Amino acid sequence: MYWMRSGWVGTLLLMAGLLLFVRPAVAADEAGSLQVRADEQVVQCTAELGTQSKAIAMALKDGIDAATTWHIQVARVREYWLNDGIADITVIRRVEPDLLSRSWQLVDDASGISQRVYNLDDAVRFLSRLELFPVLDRSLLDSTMPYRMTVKVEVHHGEIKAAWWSSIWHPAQAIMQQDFKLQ
Amino acid sequence: MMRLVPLFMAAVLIFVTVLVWPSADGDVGILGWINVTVMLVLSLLLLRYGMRLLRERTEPKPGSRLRAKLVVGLVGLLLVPAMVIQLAASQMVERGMDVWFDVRVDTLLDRALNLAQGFYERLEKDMKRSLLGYISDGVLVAAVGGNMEYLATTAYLTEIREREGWQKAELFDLNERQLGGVQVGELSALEPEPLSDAARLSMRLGRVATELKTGADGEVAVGYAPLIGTTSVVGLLRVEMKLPAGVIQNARSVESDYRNYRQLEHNRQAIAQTFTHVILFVTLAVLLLAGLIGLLFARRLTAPIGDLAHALHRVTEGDLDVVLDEMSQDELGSLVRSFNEMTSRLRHHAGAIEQGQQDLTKALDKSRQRQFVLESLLANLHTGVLLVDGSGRVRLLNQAVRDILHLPVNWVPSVDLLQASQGNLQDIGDFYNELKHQQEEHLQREFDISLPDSRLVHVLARGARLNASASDFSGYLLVIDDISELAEAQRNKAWAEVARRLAHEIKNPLTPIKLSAERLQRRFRAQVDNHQVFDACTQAIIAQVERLQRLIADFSTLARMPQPKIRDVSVNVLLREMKDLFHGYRRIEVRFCDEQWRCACDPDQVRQVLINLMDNAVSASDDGVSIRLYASLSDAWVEWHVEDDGDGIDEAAASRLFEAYYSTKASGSGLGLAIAKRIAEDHHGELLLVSTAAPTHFCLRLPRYAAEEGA
Repeated sequence: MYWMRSGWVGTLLLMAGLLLFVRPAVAADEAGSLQVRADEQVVQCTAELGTQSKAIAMALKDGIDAATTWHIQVARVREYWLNDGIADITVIRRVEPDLLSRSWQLVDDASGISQRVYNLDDAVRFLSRLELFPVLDRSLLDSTMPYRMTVKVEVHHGEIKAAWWSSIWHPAQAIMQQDFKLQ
Repeated sequence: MMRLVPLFMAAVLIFVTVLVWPSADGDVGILGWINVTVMLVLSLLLLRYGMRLLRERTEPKPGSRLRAKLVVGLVGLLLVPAMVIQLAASQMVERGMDVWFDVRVDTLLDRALNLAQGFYERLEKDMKRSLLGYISDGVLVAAVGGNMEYLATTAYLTEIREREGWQKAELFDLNERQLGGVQVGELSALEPEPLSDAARLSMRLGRVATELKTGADGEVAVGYAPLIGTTSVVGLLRVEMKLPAGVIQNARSVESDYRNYRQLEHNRQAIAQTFTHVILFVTLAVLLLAGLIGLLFARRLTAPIGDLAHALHRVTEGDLDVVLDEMSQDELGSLVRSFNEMTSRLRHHAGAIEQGQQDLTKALDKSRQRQFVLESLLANLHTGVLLVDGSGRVRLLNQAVRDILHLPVNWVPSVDLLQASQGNLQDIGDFYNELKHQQEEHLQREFDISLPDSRLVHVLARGARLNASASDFSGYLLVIDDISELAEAQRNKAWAEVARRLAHEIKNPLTPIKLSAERLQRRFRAQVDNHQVFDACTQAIIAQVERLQRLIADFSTLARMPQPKIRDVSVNVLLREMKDLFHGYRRIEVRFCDEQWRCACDPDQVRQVLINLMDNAVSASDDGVSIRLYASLSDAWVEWHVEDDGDGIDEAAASRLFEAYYSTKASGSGLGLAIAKRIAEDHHGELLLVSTAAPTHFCLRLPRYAAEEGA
């Protein structure tokens, strides 16, 4: 009970503890799967959302715009200090349904490529799966060191509204991690 | 009980926090987290304050409790209606949601969307049906095969465009090269639009396909019909038909409304939560604001009370110089003014009390000084003093009266004088009684008092009545003096005068009488016939004259006792002289002492005393009765003891033994022991009768050293 006597310091420490407790509660949700694959030149990842796919499908079926923001981070694992960040990539994918024609416009904001599909599963797969996505050049990594790839996915229903706190507050619905080492 | 209020409020707040905690999949945004953070902070503050209240043992800062109660009370007063409003608002939102998302609206929108979708389907089906008729059109296949001129191809395309009502018709070969094209109005672009994925798919699969496009002029339906030759697809007919603007606008409106509705429905829970959190945020803001205002108000209200409590505390500790500032004209200001007035009066009274105390202390000191002087005076006074109050109880008696009268131990202050004056002290009681009942203010009496050691003490008692008019005390003052020595001295002086006169008047005729008697005896003895009678008579005259001469000599000695010639004398020498002097008496035992024992005395006078004592012992005891003479030594005294085992001395004789002219012997002058006693006193010593019988014991006690030597 010492923190109760130490006044504001104790209160602030408790608040920090509560926030740390809160963050994993938001993130913990059968996140999905993540696989890291490295070929001769590029390190790629294949990530897929878990239960969030159903919510995306329901929204797209009802004609609601949906988008997924993929934050892909690669860091060198350090035992006694914070991990050393090497790569940080953000991929935004959007789907705009057209109820009249029963089609879905797929938009990749990173590449600017769009495509219209007439199958809902294709649209859901577009949002909930990154397949063999190239993350970084293999030459940036050391084959003797351990690395960790972290994928945080934010799922947006409706139009993405950029609030002032968007850069601070990331309501990630899924977090996936994979430790890897180059062979 | 009041101490538990903050803890109770904290518990309620934590419970509400848990209730409104944002769910992981909820979309309440940052507002929910702000709310729970604020509530957690508030609950922690309340928890902390409650714990501090519970642990608090010492007196809190003046006014803090009242301030806390005011704030808690104000917040608590607002908390209940705020929670009611919160619940009511939540219920209203829930009800509103139910109305908004009514199933009829849902069905209506579904049907509207179905209508819009049906319109599009209809258009697509019509377009596909029309296009199916041109899949194997010979003219078009021929044109694709290069068997027709461009103009003919264009004319044919114009014909079918007008026939089908299309706005545009284009012909492509397998290489996606435009072979011809017509459209309503002027050409929109010189370059043909590249084929879309749907068009390529249509060619690859050999199926008619349609798609919708949104252009600058509005939406158009685009149809693709693969041209199939004899065995395979050889080209593609692409046609466009502009959709009617009004219908399309309505259809898009329906789609937009449907989408918005579905989005709202999809976010229904989030909207409710958002609304709840907005209301909660407002409620918390109001509560915080109220708490802040309450705190400011309470601080403003309790600050004078706290100052007053603090000032009272200081006054309680004795600081009367406290003055409070009069800040307001309200009741608190009046209170402060009254407090200042009270402290001013207290200061005044305290000053007066302090001055009075100082005066009293001075008077007490003086009184104690006087009492000390009086007690010292009484203690050092050789005159006995007895102070008796009006009720006859002794209030004060000094040591001198105890020494003079040998008062028993029960004579203490508060003892009743008449009851205590029993036995040998009866005369004191009688004297007090006479003083008490007489009319005169003063009384003086002389009387003898026999002491427990059989001595008589002659006292002079003087009494005075103390009147209450002079002081608060009324009673009697008895002053008692031991005048035994004075009386004896007067008596001795009188006897000395008598002796001197006797010596003067009688001594002179005695010698001629004795000489005459001796002459008669010598001259006329031969002439008388009865010699025996003559001798007896003359011898009797001579003997009596000699006796009278000795008597006169003793009188002279008593009257003209010389001053002792003090010198250092061996005690043993005096004992040896006594041994020699009385060596004829075998029953006398003289015990010698250490040769080193010395005494400062006049050896002639001491020898005279010892001879007198030994002579008395011999004459008072029969033959065969042993007599002992020995000496003893102490730090200050040398003592010669004479004991005999004779019949002893009776009590009546013992009390008068040392009086002059008192003798138990027929031929004694009664001056021997009186002279011996006088010699002892002249040596600053004493002659004591230690015991009257078995053995009869006399003691001559003399100081070892001369008085001038300070021994």
